Amino acid sequence: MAQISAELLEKLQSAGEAQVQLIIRTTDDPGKYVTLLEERGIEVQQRYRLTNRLAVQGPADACLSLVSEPWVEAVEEDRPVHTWTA
Amino acid sequence: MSTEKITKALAQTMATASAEEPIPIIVKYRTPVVTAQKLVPGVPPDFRYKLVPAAAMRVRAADIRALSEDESVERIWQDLPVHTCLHESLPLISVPAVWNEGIRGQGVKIGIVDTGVDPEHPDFAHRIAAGANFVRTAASYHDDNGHGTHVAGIAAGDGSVQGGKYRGVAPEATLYVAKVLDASGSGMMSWVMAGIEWAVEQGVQVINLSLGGPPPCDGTDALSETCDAAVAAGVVVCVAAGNLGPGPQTVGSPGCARQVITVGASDKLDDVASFSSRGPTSDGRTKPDVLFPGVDIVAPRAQGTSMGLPVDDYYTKASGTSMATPHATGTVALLLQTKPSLTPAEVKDLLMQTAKDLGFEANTQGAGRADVYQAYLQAAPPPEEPEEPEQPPQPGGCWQAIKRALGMQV
Repeated sequence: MAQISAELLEKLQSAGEAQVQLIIRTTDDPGKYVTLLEERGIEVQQRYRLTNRLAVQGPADACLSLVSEPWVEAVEEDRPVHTWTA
Repeated sequence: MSTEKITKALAQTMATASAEEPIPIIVKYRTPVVTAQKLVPGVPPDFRYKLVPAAAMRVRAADIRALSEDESVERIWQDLPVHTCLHESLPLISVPAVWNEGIRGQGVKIGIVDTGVDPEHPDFAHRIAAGANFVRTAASYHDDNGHGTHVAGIAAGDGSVQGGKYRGVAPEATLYVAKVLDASGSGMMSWVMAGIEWAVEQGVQVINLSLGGPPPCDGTDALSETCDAAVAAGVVVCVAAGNLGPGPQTVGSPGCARQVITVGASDKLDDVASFSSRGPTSDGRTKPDVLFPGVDIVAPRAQGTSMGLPVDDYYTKASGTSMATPHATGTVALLLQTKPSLTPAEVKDLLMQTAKDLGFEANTQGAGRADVYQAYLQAAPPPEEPEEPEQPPQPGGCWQAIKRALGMQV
């Protein structure tokens, strides 16, 4: 099972078809899994090259299925960031 | 009086000065040599210049009028106080001493990953090499918040609008701009990651990240690991510690990333800003790494924005670790121009080893407040020693003793 926080796991389990934004870390080239994700109704918003990661958006229940995929190493929520002006 | 020769500012000063009040002026002569008789009788000049035929002196308004009638005088300026940089912050960290060595960031590529920049700001418009937008609600990398323009100006503005008064740390560096935060100054980690990748692909040598999220953070999140991957690719990454101090464990992502330079904020009295986030990270590592000035920094203002406390149409004043971080980024540009072979780890070590210990604990000040000139001295190659000319044997020395030993005539 992929690394995921208990808080996010609970959110995915309870959110049903609500849209969630996630960043997933894959075991190898994330480009290999784009089609597979799209077939599940999960939109790939960004594919990264510095690390094996994808930014995705899709229904929570579909995203929950990723947690048990052997090629998914970690799942985390795409969180907001902001400027640091005092 | 020849009004053409006297500058407008000087004429205004003369109009309000009392008759005997000495006014500091600089006089430029048409003749190549400023001889004594061309100066005001009885007034010794403060300086006589050789590169241009000019002299600095303090004289009365009546003397200035007389000088302006002299055919050999070409122009008369008021000698004005000089402000060389962003208020007090740059002298405090000894940046001008590095400029005096001819190091201003020439040829170094800086990535500003932020709210974008104002591409028409005169302080750096001509040095933007490329820009890209990663915000879905924006159409270009133009700054609709003001933060990124301020940050870019601190790192690499030349202060040209105000005659150099608000010059940034590396005023000749080249800028690559990734807009990853929207008009409200917010964005998603995934946008920032995309901006970092773009900057790395552009070949930047240092990336500025004056942004972040809340703690806790152990450096294993996607954004922190992307920053570490950029460092592994050879790029120095400077990240704001955050403004959630003074409590402990207030550094968020990506300030908690292992390989980045995490920057806290100090003020002009070398105190740590109370807002500056403190370590340790949630896995127990010390942060921040180093402090740079981040309180009341005047730097470029983006057109049509009101971030901070606007000073005029072109500049605004703001505080935060957001403002401290581009001081670090500009400093890295100076060091990389000085010694391009420096690795990101060596740059971080240099800044930390040469920082001034302010006496606070490590999770408050890191290694201390940066001293840019000391870091430069450590990075700069030692001056080449002139080769000793071959000395002929000295009479009475070893040479004569050898000759005697060999039975030769001495």
